[in-house]
Amino acid sequence: MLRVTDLVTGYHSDPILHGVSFGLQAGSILAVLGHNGAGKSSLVRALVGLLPVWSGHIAINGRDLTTASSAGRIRAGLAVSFQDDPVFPTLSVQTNLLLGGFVRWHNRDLVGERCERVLELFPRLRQRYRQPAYVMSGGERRMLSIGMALMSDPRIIILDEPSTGLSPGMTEHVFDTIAAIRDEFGKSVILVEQNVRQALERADRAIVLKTGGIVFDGEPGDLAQDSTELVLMF
Amino acid sequence: MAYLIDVLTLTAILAIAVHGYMLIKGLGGMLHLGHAVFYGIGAYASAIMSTTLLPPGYFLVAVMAGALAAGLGALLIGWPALQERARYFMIVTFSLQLIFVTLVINLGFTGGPDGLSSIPRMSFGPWQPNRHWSLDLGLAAIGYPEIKLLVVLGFAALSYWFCSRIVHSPYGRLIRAVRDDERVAEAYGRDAMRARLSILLIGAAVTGMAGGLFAHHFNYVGPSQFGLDLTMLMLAMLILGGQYSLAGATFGAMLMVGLLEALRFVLDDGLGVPFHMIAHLRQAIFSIILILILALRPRGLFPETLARYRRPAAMPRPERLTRRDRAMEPPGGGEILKAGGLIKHFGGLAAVDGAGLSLRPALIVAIIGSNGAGKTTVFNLLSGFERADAGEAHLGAVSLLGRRPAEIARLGVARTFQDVRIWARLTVIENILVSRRHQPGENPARLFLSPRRVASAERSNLEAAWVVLERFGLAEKANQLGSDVSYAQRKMLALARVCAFDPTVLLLDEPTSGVDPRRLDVFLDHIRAFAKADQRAVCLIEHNMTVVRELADWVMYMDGGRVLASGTPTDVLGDDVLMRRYLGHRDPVVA
Amino acid sequence: MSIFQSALPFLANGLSLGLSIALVALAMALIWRVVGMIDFGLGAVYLVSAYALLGLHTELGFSLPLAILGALACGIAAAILIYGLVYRHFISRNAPLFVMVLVGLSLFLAGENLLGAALSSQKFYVIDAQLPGVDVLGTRLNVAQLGKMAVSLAALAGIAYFCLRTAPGTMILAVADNKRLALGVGIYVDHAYVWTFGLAGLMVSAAAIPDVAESGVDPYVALNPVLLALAAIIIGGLGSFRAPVLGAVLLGLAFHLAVWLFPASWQEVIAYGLVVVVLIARPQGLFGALHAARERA
Repeated sequence: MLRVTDLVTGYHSDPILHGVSFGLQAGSILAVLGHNGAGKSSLVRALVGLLPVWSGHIAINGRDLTTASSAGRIRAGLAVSFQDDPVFPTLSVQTNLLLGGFVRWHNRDLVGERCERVLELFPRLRQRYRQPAYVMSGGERRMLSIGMALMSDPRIIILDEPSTGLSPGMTEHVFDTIAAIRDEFGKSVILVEQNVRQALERADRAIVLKTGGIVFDGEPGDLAQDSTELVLMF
Repeated sequence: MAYLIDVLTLTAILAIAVHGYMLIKGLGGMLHLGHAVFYGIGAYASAIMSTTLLPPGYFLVAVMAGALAAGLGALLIGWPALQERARYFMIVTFSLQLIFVTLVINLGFTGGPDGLSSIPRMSFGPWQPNRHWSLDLGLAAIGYPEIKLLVVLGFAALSYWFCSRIVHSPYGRLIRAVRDDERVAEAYGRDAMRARLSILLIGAAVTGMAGGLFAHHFNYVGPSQFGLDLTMLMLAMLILGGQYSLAGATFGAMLMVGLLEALRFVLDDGLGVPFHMIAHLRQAIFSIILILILALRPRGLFPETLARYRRPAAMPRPERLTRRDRAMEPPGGGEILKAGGLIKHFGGLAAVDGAGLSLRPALIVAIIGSNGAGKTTVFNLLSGFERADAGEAHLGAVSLLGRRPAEIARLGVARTFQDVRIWARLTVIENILVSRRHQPGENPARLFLSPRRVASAERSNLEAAWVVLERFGLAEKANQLGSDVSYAQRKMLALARVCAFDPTVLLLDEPTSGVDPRRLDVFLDHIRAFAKADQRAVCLIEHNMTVVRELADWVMYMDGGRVLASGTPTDVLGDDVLMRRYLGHRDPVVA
Repeated sequence: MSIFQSALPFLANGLSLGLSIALVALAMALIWRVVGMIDFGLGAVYLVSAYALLGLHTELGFSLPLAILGALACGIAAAILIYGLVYRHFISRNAPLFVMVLVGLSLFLAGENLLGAALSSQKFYVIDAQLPGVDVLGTRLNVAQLGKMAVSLAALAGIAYFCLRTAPGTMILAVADNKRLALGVGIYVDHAYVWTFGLAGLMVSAAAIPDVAESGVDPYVALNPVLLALAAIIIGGLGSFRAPVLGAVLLGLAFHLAVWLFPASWQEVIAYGLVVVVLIARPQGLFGALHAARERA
């Protein structure tokens, strides 16, 4: 589905990721774990095309997207929910959702149909439909952002730390929704998280980033079972 | 010939004004769009002095009065405009530029729309030349215009010397640090507002002096001379030459005048363009030149001149860092910094909700916890970067809360930043030099009043800086710009810088994040040396548990703005329930 | 005549001026929010459409409605060309705000002076005859003034409709609101910029044409509208699209009521003095806060 090979990227002249390689299976959840400064955000930015790739390759279904613009990558079937500022704050929930499906605007029926499905998945959004996004709570905004990512009918959804700033109950709900996105919508998900345990419970595969490189790539069950050992790994 | 002398005189005057602009915009980094106002204030003030207040012969006094008036004007503008909202400075100065002309037209003592005419010529005491004054030197006769040119050139040389002394002094270095990142300058105990205001004042005074010369050169001042187009012309000169370089400012003025005069010659004599069009075309052309420079060479012709420092031949060997056994000291007793009940809300969210800590000399305390636990906010409260809603923090007997960051730093509490924040356009060694305390050269008055003392302090400052660089392995990079060294070196420089500041309490915000694991040991040794060898209290926020286990004597686990648990690294890291929670497992935890 | 009645003409004139400034201010606010620059180049756009109206009507003999359409088109084209040829270069290199301001200001001054050189600083009139007018509340408002108010109100409504109801409008709002996310949903930001500058060009032309019809054109006609528009967004703030419009109306009223209370020569001092006072007392404007995240300075 998605194949990343020897990805090197960084800001200005500082490399952040030094040669990262991994793959994503269709219809699966890949957990990307690691601490602050490990390079997770840079990985997301490089995948979406907001950070230039210095060397290496990114391909979706065999199609090389390394040099594609971010608009080109979204059209090729990628969608993203950012960690910070995940919605358009002054626009209504409705407009936010419509913008989520921006690359499918030529097909009005599809956009309308997706919108219905997203509202079924997140009934809260229906109640807030006409309100601007900034009046919503953090959890609602997170739902809206995930909903927006579903709107373009993508193949792969990248979720950058969807549990940031959420209450434990809400976190649980968001993780269940992510599993539903895989099981019911049949999407592949790249789940970037600090909430290691909950991410691992749902993931089909996990990679751990540390100081710009991958230190673990395998089944979630193979990660250290002992909490202390796991903590030390990061 | 007379015309050429006239043009040269005006060029020299403009060059002085552009020197002032360089100090404000280039060195001070203030987005200043009203330079003609300072020039105009100087011109009017000295014109009024010469025409009405002073007897003939006091030309120098009149020019100095111009400088003084412009400096006062800068204080009046700068005091409110720079107060915590420097980013609006551009719009404030722009608005003042727009007001200035109408204001001058409307005021009585400025002569209204007619301006002030018959300003006396330059005169020195009894020497008061008339138009036909000349001095016969046998081969050639020197008239008043030539003398005037010489006087103005003398002033230009004086201005160059004065500004260059400012730029290359510890004071100039501090101004550049404030330009790069004023928050960090405050974290190192400097008053950023005072620094900005002082350089604005100095720059305006230099410009006002140029205005005074202009009034006595042209013998007339009127409102239309100090409009937006003059500011734009001076900006074009500054940016063409290179706004960060004094030589650039000088040559920019010369080059621009040369270009415009050449243009006038071509248009007038060559192409026979009617006179009324030439003024417009000149304006149009320098506007276009400005766009082209900005597009093609935004840094101008001359780059910023950075002092290069030679490494002293006989360096004192840095003391070997030894790994001491980490003897566990019992908590309590001898504490230097104590904080408790800290509360900070952002909107409705409690970022810090009753956290506290206690630091002792030679003890390393690590704060761990997931993102959003309030760790950095605790540092911000302790270092004055955020105001606490409640709680208390004491350094010895002194309360820290409610003080400004610079005050807290001067008390001896220093901090580093998660995102490194070194001064990127200072060289590595300059980063160290600025950080060190007690520098007489940071006071612009002392630069000129007690130059010896400044020089000797700077020599010992420099020696100490080399020792620090040697100790942190950065001596090779001393003369490179902060932005040009690698991330790990910047991270190391941040450590070296805070060490050069010589604090008693050290707050390190993720000192090793993003550092290559192979180089980690060096960082750990330095941090350990801070605490153990230099007997400082160290507190660090850290995500890398290997580092915590290696380094910390005491670990605090924060969650939801509170300290949930604390103990020895073995205790805290070995607590399975705590670690599961840290990894995001939301079991109830008994605090 | 009561004091109130004597103030009425000033109120009417102030309102008319305010609504006219509102168009330029809205254009400036739109560019600030979408692109993150203070665009003094709008002054050049103003001049282009003003002289286009003059040239098309008096030189080429087009009928007035045709000339107006032509002038609108020229204004839009000028704004887009300035973006494509000049601003894009700087935006793609992440030029700091100060540089962007200088570039816009230089463009404006260059345009002003090139026109001054080519056509002299003389004032030309598009319509020679005395404009017909009607008496309203004891003051005489001519057709251009009434037209100006009507055009401004219609244009403001039209912009609101465009932004909220059409696809390109939504795209512009999205980029203004959160540029990174706009990229993340697949919007070509460059397209949004072209639309933004086109729209700004249209608004500035809509302000320029009735102004020129009323009081003629010379190379300096654009200075006051652009500077007052800047003042309006400072006074009003940039929190919403309503704020600069309110700021403009307030400024227009202040500008004319100042004449009523003080000698006319103090007009500008009072207007810009108001700006400085607002900046120092309440830098986010009187009508709303500017989102800190959007500041680029």
